[in-house]
Amino acid sequence: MRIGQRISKRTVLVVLLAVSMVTALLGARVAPRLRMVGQYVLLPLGEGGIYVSCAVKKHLKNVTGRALSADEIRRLERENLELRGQQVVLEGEREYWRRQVEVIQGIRQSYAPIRDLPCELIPARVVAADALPYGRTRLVNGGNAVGAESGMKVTTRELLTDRSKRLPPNLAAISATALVGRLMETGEFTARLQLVTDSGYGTWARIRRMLDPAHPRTVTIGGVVRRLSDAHNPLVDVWAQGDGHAALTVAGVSAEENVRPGDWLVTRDDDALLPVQIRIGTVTEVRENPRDPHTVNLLIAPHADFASLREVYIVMRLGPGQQAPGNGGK
Amino acid sequence: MRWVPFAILAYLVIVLQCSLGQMLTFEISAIGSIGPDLAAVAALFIALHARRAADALLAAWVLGFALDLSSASGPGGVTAVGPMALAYVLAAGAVYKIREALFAERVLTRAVIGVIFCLLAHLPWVTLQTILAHNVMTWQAYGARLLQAMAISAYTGVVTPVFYPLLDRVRKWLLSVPAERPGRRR
Repeated sequence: MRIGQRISKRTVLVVLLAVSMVTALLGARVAPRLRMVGQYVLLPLGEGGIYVSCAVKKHLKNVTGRALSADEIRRLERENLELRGQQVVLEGEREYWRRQVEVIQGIRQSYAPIRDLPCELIPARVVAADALPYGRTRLVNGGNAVGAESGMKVTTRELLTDRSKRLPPNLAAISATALVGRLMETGEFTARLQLVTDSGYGTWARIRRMLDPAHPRTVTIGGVVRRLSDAHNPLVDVWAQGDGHAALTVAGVSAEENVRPGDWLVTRDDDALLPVQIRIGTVTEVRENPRDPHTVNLLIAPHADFASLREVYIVMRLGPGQQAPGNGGK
Repeated sequence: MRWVPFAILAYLVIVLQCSLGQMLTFEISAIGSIGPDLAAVAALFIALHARRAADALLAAWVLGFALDLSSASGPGGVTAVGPMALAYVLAAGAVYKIREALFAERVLTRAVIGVIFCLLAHLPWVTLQTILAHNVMTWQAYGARLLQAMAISAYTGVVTPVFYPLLDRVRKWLLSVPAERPGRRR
């Protein structure tokens, strides 16, 4: 008698239902391993689709948006003209200071041991998103095979150039400009990236207050009121977590810190996994905490555009004595 | 039921949902991210046209399990694998039971049944994931997720009449032609 005749579809269904109940009850203990198996199947065709999706979303973002009135257009043109003038002046100054810095760095490097970011930046690409819109994760094509592990931080990858012509090879500079998230699950060739806006994401970070000479501000430290300046602008340590939608939240920041919209949320340079300060997002709203009038809650818009996120760096911290092989371009 | 074409369809639907599906996803600040559940449309189509209940439920389980494997985050952080498979089977079973009473050729009926299928799948899924993550979930977060699930279901209902005819075109590849009854003459 054939096996197919002995095992009915009803029996198969009962077995499958039992399997899904067991995997559901085992929860996060087996879910990452099962998902990694499934991701091998997704990988071959997912990349093309996500490429099209990112391109379309980027285009839509550019063509849609609020229409400006004639007055607003004139005002913006005037501001642009003024800013262009300021830009020319600043570029001249920048060039002067850049040369000064080069001279100083040349002297320092001649006499001091080379210190570099003790990290290797592993380039990876987003190949698929979450099937359901409840979560904020992406599948990237960098797994254990290239050294990626769970918990590693992930940044954006941008090509920096001010040339409008096609660049010859080996001249472009690559920059990791913003924190995107961390790896939550890794397999041999793929990893699941949890974005900073995911409800399960949380990290220690710092608020960098942006100084504006037109709007000076004071902070109260230990009962003493002080005006913020370039020389005195301490960073504010905070715990930031994703709100599950499109932003991050920071709760319970002292109102005396005088955080305002426009301030930056940055990573901590004493972080074990990403020992450098890069942007996470910008404060967009400062709300009073209804439970404690002495503190405020912050809403932070991420710096990276997740709708068109394609190229990323996985940051791998190197051990003592190890050197970053591919950091030259950063 | 023809299982090899169904496996190909299920694979394409999941890949579509994980990649191009992002184009159909948008943000509503009060609710969150809203996108269509294309796998639900496929499972609904099978539930409405499969010859046997076991076929409809097995197909729903496969699509639900594939969704479980391809979405890692949800209520309470990392989600468990399995609840969506169970929820899809529940929804497919309910639709299979009531399908004789439906006029599935009408656009409005398809949209409404799409919403019902999605609600029957997503509300239990959100509830199960919340129970499994009870130590980090709050009633407020659970309520927000339920609201998001309802919005996703409504959106899926809107797109169901659009994708349904595409599935109808490949129906003969997916579903076997009814067998002739013994003794019946041509």
